[in-house]
Amino acid sequence: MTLVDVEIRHPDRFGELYDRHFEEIHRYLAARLGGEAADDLAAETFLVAFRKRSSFDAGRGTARAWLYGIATKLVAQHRRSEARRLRAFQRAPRDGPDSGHEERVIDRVAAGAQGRLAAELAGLAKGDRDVLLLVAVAELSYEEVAEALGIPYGTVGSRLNRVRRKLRAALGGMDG
Amino acid sequence: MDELGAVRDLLAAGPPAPEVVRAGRARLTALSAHEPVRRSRRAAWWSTIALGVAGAAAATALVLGTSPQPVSVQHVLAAAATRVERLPDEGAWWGATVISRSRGRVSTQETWIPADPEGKTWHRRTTGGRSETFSTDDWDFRIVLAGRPLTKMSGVPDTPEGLQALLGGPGLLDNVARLLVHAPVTSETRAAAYRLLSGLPGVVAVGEVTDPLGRPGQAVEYDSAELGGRARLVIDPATGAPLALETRADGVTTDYTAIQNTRWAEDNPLDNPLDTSLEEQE
Repeated sequence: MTLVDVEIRHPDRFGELYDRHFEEIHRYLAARLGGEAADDLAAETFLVAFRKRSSFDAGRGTARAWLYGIATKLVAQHRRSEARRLRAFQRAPRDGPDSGHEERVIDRVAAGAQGRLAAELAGLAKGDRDVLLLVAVAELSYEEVAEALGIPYGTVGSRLNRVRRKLRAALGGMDG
Repeated sequence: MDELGAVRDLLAAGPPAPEVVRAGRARLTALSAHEPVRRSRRAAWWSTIALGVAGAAAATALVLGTSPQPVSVQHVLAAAATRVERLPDEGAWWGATVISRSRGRVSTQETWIPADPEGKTWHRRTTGGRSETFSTDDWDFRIVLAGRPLTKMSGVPDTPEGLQALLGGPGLLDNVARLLVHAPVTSETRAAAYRLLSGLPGVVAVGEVTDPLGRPGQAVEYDSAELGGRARLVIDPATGAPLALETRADGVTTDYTAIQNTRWAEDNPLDNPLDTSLEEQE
């Protein structure tokens, strides 16, 4: 048993894990489900992690990847919220401060691309979206994504390549 | 901007408010105040076969109880296999209620695992009159084997040879016993587990015993590699179903997991959560 194991399994030390990772887990959940849901589910991620701390295996990956795995499973229980959030992006451009006409035109063009992107995200298979957002938003390495989702390393790469191709096609006009 | 950057920008969110960070920390502290420190020995389970909640627990002393009656272990386990493979195993849900004692604390755990691998597992744990119900699609309550969740649908082998290949290694005896006691496998797989057990060295018949819930059963014992003590598996002679897995020291049972009942069903009675924190608010 490694030191990390002991640290994580010991309730008193669990708070340190929270302090180190809460903010990034919150950011990831907020990206997927919105800030309000993230407020609750980021905390929930650590409660779930605490309850199952005995099953954390440091030999199999990092605590960070483990936490993202738990957070991703909570997202899966809120698929409708995620779908709603992505639909909202398709309906309206994100509100910006008042801007001149020229900027509004640019905003609208960008909003079109944004809507296409959101639509593409909404249409992805769940497993593909998980991989994409763990890489793009959480900035996990392929190896960490594999640990977090419990899928083979090679699968991470193949899913991500497939998704990136789709997104590039959806973005079309945008500069690559 | 590349497509990953575009995704990042689209979904960008601000940091949590300080009171959100504090509130989450407080919830964690409150939870940890209610939980006993678990033994680190449980760690070993993850790499072989584990159930995150229930558990026969470790005992360090080792004493073999005495006076085995003249009954052959092969006979006991063959009879159990023949009976258990007749038990029905069809249904959308596998429900199990177990009563366990670990370090003097007795708790009741009810678990409902869906046959649908995409479905959520439901769980209710009651300790000292306090009850908690929640659901998860995580592997916490499932048997975990070689790093992957094992459900009825995962194609668990139904031959002794297949099980030995899957569960083999130094912890084989413990793995087979836990599969029998905890896993939502088919009756055929359970029968194969008995047959595998009967061919393994170190398994002896104890004869008729009374399990922790006072039920009569046929018992077999073995030295448990993981628990560092003596493990006793009690089997219902009428149905072949496992009744209890006990950890014994100095001839007495120290910790145990007793199966009050298991059944396949079409409905999950827990799907009416008291704790809705994981449920989406529509």
